[in-house]
Amino acid sequence: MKRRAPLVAAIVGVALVSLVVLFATAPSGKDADTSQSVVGKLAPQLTGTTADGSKVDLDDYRGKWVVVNFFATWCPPCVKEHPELVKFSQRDGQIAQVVSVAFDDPASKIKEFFAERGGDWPVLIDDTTASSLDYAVVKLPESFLIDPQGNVAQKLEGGITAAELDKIITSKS
Amino acid sequence: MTVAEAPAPKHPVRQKWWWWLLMVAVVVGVIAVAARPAPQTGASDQRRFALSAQLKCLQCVGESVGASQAPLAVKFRQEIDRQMRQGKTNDEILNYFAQRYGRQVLETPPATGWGSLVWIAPVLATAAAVMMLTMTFRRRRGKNGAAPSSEDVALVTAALADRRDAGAAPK
Repeated sequence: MKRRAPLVAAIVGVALVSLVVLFATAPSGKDADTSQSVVGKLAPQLTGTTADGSKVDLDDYRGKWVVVNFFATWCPPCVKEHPELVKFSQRDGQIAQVVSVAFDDPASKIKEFFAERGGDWPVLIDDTTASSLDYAVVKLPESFLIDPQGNVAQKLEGGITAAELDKIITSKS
Repeated sequence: MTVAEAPAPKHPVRQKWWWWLLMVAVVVGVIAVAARPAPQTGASDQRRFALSAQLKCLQCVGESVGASQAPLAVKFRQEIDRQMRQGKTNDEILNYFAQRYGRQVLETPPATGWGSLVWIAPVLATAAAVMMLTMTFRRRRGKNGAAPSSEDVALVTAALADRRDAGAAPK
C-alpha cells in the first residue's frame, strides 16, 4: 500500500505533463486567424455622414495618404492633439487627407468644437459604432495612417503630432 | 437526587441522511437554475446580458462589457443589439468581436491550446485529490481495521447489556 502513493503521483504527474505538451502543441482551432490589428491589411470600409450632412467614403481618397482619426470632444488628449492635426492638414493637404470619426458626439458638439479650434476636414458622426469596432479602437484618440493604395500603414495610439505623421509618411513613401 | 436524562432522538442516523439529501437537492437545484442556458435567438435583454457578460471591457479593469458604462462597452452593447436583430447566432456575434480585438476580448478561455488548461487543470486536480484521499482513508482503515479480540467483543457485549437493562428498569 505504501508503494502505491508515489506510483499514483507519478501517473498523475506524467498525465498532467502530457496534457500540457499535447494542448500546447495542438492547433488553436477555428479562431486561429483572429487578429486585433488591421495594420498591413486593406483598410476597413469607412463610410458615413458628416456634421453638415454630406456623405464620406474612404475609398474616395484613394491615391492620397489618409489619416483616419477616432476622437471625441470630451476626451482631453483628443483636444490636445487637435492643433497638430490642423497644422498637418494645412501643411500636407496636397498629399494627405484627414478624416475624423466622432466616437460618441452629437453633430452640434462637433460643429462647436471645430468652430472653436479650427480644422475643415470631414468628420463622420452618424452611427460610427461599426467603424470604431472594425478598426478595433480601444482608447481615444487613435489614428490610422492609410497609404495611397488603401492599406493601413500604421496605427497610432494616443495623441499624434504633425511632425510624427510627416516622418512616417516620408519613411513609408 | 436523580438527574433526568434528555430523551434520545428517535432516529438520529436517518435524520442526518435526510439533512444531507435536502442539502444536496438544494445545491443541485440552485446549480440547475443558475446554469440554465441563455436564449440563443431573438433580441431579448436576457440574451444581450448573457453575450455582453462574455466580453471583456477593454477600457476597464476586471469588468465585463455587460457591467461597464465605459464608452467602448456601450458601443459593444449597441453592436450586440444590432447583430441580434439581424438574426446572428451567439457564436457569430462573439466571433465578430474576437476577429477584431483578438481572443483576449472573450471572457471564456478557449478550449484549445494553452487556454484549455484552465478547463482541464481543475478536473485533474480534483481527480488527484480524490485519489489521494481515497488512498489515505484506505491506509488508515488498514492500520486501524484489525479484527477485535474476544476480550473487546466481551466488553462491548457487556456494555450493551448494561445499557439495555438500564433502559428497561422502572424509573
